[in-house]
Amino acid sequence: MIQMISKRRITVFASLGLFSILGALILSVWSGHRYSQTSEWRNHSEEVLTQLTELRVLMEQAETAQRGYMLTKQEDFLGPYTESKAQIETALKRIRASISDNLSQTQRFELLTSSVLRKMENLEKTLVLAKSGQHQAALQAIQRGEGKRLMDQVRSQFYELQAAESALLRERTLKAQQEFERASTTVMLSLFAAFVLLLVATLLLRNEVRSRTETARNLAKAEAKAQEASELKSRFLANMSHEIRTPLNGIIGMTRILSDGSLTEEQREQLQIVRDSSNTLLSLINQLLDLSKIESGKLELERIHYQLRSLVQGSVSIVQGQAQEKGLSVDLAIAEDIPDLLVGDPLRLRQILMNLLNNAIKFSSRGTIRLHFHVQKVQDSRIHLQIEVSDQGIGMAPETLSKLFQSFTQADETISRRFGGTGLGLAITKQLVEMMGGTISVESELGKGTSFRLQLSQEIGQETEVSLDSSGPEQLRLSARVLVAEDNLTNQKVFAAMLKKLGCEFTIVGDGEAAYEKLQHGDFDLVLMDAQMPGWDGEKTTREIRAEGSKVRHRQIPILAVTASAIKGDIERCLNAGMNDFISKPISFADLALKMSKWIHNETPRLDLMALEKLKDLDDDGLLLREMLTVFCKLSPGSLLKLRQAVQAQEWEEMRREAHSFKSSCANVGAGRLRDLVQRIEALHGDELKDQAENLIEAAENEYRDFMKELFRYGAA
Amino acid sequence: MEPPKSQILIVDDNPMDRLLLQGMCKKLKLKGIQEAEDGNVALAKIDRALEMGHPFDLVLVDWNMPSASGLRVLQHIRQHPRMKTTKVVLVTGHSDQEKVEEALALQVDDFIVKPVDFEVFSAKLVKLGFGTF
Repeated sequence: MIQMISKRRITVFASLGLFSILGALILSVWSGHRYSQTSEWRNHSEEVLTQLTELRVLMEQAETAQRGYMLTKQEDFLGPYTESKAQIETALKRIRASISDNLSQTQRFELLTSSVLRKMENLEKTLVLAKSGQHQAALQAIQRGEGKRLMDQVRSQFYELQAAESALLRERTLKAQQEFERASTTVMLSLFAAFVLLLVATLLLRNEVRSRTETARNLAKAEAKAQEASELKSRFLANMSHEIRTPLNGIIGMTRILSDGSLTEEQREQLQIVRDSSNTLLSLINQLLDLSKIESGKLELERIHYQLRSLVQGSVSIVQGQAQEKGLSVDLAIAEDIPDLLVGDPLRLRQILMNLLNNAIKFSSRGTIRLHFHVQKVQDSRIHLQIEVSDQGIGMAPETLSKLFQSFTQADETISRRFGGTGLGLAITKQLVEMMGGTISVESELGKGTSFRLQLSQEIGQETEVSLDSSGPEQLRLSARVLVAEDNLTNQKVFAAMLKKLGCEFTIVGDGEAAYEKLQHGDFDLVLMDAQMPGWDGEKTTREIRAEGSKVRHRQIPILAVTASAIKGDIERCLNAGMNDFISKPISFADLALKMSKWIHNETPRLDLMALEKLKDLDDDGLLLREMLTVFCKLSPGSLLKLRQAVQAQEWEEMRREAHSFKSSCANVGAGRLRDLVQRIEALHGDELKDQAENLIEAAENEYRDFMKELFRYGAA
Repeated sequence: MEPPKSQILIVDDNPMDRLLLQGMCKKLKLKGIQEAEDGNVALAKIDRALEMGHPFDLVLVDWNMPSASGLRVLQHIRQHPRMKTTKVVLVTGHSDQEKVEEALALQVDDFIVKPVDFEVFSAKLVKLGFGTF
């Protein structure tokens, strides 16, 4: 408001100043014009005076010539007389024209003119008399003095006129002078006023600028403060989420174990409620953690190679069960021209898809859930995808759509009562999509269904550039012994070339039986198994290898199926038969290297089922296993907490001791990756402690959560 | 053949490890198993058993413990003339390998490396005369 007023004031002063300058300008132009007008008048008066003098001289010349003739009678004098007479007539005409604008002067001039004419008539009369020989009569006429009287009259009228004209001239000069002085004064005054006004405007402007700078500075300060507060909130949220999650995992673990025991139906139901509530709480906390990470800028997207199709199929297979339970079908379509190998953050992409799919399932009770992938365009090795997730569920009213992507907002309050949920899912989804440089939009109609559209661009993976821990394929060496079971000669050659490039030792056989035979006698680290072979096909061979009474040396050897992805259900059959993974034909080097490295490097399993099986075997009723898991669930949250506290207090000895003990616990229940992480924590020393401990603990906490999930899945199986 | 009656002490500060070792002992049909959650408790139990006239036949002891260490327990047993027949098996992590020599000097009967594999465990115990498959 104050700013508004001062702004208006500046404008007023500045424009007044400018008007004053303009006024002064106009005034000076006008006064100049007036001045030149006045001087014209003056010139005019002077000219009139000159003409009058001329006339008088001419009159005198005419009289002199007449007298000369009268005295001498010589014709010579008649010439000048005639000349003067003619000139007098022109002079009279000129003067009349000159003074025609002035009435009083014209009147005077008329008198003068009649006197002049009479004088001339008188002169002419005497001359006519003299010429006709009546010289004496002429002289008598002159002597009567009429000529002199007439001449005196002319003279006096003449002087009168001259005096009047002179007075006029004086008056005009004076007036011009006065006007000039007045104009100068006014111009000076206007200029002075302009100066003052502009000075005031400038001062006001300076104040204004100063106050605005001040305001801007305050604003920046306030913004920084707000930012800080927001970060603080995010950090607090993140910390709290961690703290809540740890005991919560304990609760979930214990309920799981409890539910395996002998319970009455009622107790089981109650326990189920505890579990459901805990899971809801856990997912809320996880979402909060995600959101706070995003908001505090802690969430960094990965940039790694991944296979789109297996990622999408994996996501769909997770929700398929839920969908089927509700009688929904899932329609998945990925355009064929989308390359399989892309670069991006597969985990977050999966999170986005899962969020949308879960939503679609949650809000539908019939129809089909569509998940379609299309190519929009390919540009500079980036592919622009359009992903559509749509359902035929309850839909949304237009006014609720606008609030859809806000944190903690569910489209409709009644929704949370009917369907549960935190209202964070879509906010996170939107943020993730935007972090990936994409956009998300939604269309919906009440009762008809909802359709989410994602525009997302991903880098196209380079087949020759597989990054595995940032080492390119050229550096990637796999020292492994590989058995290839493949009947097609061309494919055999392809495998031979690729395996050679990878630095593997390999043996190639043409059918399943030969492969089984080789595995009995030779040591291998991995099998590449064509799914379609004459005789024993890949499925049959794998079943034989994995069978209880199998004679092969290493029953659990990793087997990778080599399948033509076009054949539906092929992959599923292979995996069901006990193969570990699959490679699609045509074989890409990157894919082969990636998959082989995954299985050869013996990536520590999250949940080592062998360890659990062994525990189960230790007693007949599996009581020990259950007891071990119970104790693990009971102790682990405490151990993680102690680790974190030790790290925060920088009590490294305490941290090592706890890690040492916890590591052993992890190993006992087959928590392979968790054990590795804890071991790394134990082995930290020197500068690493401060740098890495915190991160490793966080990784361990996450891994613990994932391990527990996997453990539950195992428990359910 | 009936398994021999024996007194066994499991010393480990990690309850899961105690549980696991006990489970394995039970699998070998061993009886008379006692537990101690740290070195000091172990020393007290050992002394008490000695006083009662039934010293332990087998002590499975964790190397790395907060109070009295495994080594300390081993020393205590070896110093006592009445426990000459007591077998001591150290249970260690991979990281404790360099301390093995120390333990050997004190005539430890065997080592078991964590995570304990039942096959290894049973082989070693049977070799020392405990349990049966």
